[in-house]
Amino acid sequence: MTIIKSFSNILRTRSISTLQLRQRTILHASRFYSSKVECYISTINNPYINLGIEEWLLRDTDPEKYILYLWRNKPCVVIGRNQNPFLECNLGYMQDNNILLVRRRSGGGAVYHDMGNSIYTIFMPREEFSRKTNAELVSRALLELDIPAYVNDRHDIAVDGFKVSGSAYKIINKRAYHHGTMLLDADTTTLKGCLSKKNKISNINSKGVESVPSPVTNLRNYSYTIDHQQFCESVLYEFIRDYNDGQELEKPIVFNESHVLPQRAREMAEELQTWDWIYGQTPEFTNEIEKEFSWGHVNGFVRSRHGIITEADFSSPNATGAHEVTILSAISNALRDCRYSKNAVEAAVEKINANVPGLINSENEKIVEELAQWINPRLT
Amino acid sequence: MSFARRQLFRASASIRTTTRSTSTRVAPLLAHQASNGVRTFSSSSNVKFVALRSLLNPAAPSNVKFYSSKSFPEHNVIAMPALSPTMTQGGIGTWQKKVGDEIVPGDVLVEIETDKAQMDFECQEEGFLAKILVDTGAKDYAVGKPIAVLVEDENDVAAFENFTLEDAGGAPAAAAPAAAEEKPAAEEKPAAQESSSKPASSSAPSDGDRVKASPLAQKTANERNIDISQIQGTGPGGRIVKEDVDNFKGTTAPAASASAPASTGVAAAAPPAAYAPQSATGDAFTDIPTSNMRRVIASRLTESKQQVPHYYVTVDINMDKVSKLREVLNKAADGKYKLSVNDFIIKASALSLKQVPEVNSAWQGDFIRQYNTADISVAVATPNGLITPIVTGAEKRGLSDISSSVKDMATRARNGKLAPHEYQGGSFSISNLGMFGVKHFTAIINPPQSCILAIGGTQQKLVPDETKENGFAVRNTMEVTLSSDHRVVDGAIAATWLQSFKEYMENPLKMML
Repeated sequence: MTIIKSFSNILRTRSISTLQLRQRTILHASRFYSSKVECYISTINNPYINLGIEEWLLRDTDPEKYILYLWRNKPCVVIGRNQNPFLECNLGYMQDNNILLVRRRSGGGAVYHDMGNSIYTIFMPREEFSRKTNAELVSRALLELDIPAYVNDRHDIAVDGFKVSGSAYKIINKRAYHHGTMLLDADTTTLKGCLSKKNKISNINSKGVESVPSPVTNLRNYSYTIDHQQFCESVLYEFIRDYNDGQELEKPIVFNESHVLPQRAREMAEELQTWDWIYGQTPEFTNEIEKEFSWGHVNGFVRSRHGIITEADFSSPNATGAHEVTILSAISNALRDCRYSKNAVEAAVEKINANVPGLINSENEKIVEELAQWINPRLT
Repeated sequence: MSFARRQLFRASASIRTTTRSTSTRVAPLLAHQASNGVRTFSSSSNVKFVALRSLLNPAAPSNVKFYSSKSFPEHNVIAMPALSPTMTQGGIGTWQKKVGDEIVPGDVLVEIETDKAQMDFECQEEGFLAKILVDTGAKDYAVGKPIAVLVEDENDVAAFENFTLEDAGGAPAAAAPAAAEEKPAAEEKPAAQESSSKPASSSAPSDGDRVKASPLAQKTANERNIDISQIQGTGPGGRIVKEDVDNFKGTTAPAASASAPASTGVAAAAPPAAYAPQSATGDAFTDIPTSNMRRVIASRLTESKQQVPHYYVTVDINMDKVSKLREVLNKAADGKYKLSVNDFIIKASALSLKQVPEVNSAWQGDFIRQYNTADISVAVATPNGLITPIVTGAEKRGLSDISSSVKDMATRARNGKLAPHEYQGGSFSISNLGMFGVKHFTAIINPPQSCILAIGGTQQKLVPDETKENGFAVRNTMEVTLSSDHRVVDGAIAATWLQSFKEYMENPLKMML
């Protein structure tokens, strides 16, 4: 009797694993209820804290459990672990609009988050890991909400040929997670402003992971009523159907502002905000720029690793004045070991004034100004 | 303590066997006194007392402060001091005090010309100058030979009118100083000559490999001007004992005045007789006597060329950026400093020595001393000859600091006013003949250093340049040649050093930022 039932289970859901099968069998056999499924919800909108909680859930909870974590962030751009922020996002635009830059711990490309974008994370034991399973789970959740969603070949969830969700994964020893976004009603103008490469005049050659741009759409365009609440409920429903046999969970655990977070979550949130993590994890890249000045043509080359300029070379094939040649040489040497940023040239000038006082003086200040104005915005 | 007591101490503490000079002295001393009862002595009865002691304990021959056989009052004989560790002889300059003047410790007695510089000899004894034994202008006066006589009592000055060099025991072998080491308790006022000759006598054992010799043997060898490293030792472990020195019949040429090891006491060979042309008016040539400095240069550089395996590596340096940087900095200097190309060269060398420390070394036979700081000797031409003042710690100093230091030392060098520690030593040398229009030359290494950098002048050079319309460009190029000691520095190391030097010179702001 038990065996037949198990087989029918198999026929119904192809993607079920042996472990799950065994568990279900055991359940039937023993009628023993074990809560192997949990749900966490965060009402905090700080991306660093939310990622901190995610990390805590990954490392400090029982690896056998299946956990669903639902959250959303205030406006920010989240880049992948090995990406180059100078290449992927328009840092100037972001700074002008107070949009945070976040580097997450999972791989993948750059995405824009705001309160119209919902994020889900599903934790499972490592053996269960599959790119497709959970994407399908979520698209089924959308189907329940009358949205014709499907999973495409890049394992993204799409509606009507437009991407509505991107995914990323992280695998450690005994555990894995899949987290993904869901564009319910995000601000697409700001999104384009942050991530679009059309306006970037950049000659950056990078060793990092590059984003693959896709045309996106909001679910709002396909449903007037969808919101974060509905989305979360629907996903949770599918989740317990798949992993908990439809058994209702006890109340999901909610994190809000008043909570004292676990130690690991706090530490991780701190680390994610440091310069060393956000910029210092940037892989090696080079940038080349050039400009014609009244006194000569200048070619610039900058190499950077871990967010620090390792090599800079500004030279001119036809400038002959003593001041011009000396200033170009001074800036090239001073930029070395400065942080790669739009203030790099200021830092270099300070270094010059500290080490070789008098090199920059009233006779060549103008040249320094001209160069700074040209270089700074071109770096980022 | 009175002069006589000091005399006593010295006499009684010595356990030396006598040398010929003493043995001839002691007997006549007594005999003479016995027969000359009529001659008036000074009122002090110490005279006889000391004489008796001299008989019983034959006095150290190294003690200059003798009485002569003509009964002079008690006096102090001042010997020629060694004003630098390697000084063996010097010239007497102007006497700053006359007979009868009071001498207070610290007073300058006379100017002495050493192998490189003019020095003021400050007397540490007190008394009155009774007799000057050597006149101004005397040359090659050996260290230890008596030059003057001091007395404690002003009234005794007159008695020394006829005092001669012999009376002072003027044989060179009577050199005082080595005795000082052996009698630590004896001196409460160590005379300048004693302390300065202490290094002179110990220079023999510190020469090159440490020679094992007994202190007595060392002293004896020094007195007889024997190079102790030439003697075969028969004592335990090959140690040289006094008998070996006595029996040694080798050359008694004075040790070479090299300031550091590797001196093997090369005796100067007599140069071949020079061609002496005849001329109607009789002045076809002039014989210029060799000065101390010239002699030292001759011996050191000959030794270097003979002992050190030289080889030479040359590179071209593009001087465009250096000359432009120099222009900008000098304009901004406001007269506070004026940088020359040499200053950049010194700084670039120092930083390259940090990068390739093997070049900053000295060959010492059993080991190689690798220096951690760059003390660069800069060659300066003076009317008297070549001298190399040292820029210490050049890698830590700024360009303007180096510039002012070099200018100051060059001025003082030309006036002969450099202190010995300012030109002896150094771990690397630089010689620049660019200002004479010289394109390229090779320099001779100053041992025990391992390398010397020879700088040529900056010349304009035509090079092919694809980026230019006409296909060529003009560059300001300077040729530098590094002479290296192959015992310490291999070819690849020298080439690496030159690469580093070239990088610093062609991108000079790298040195400063």
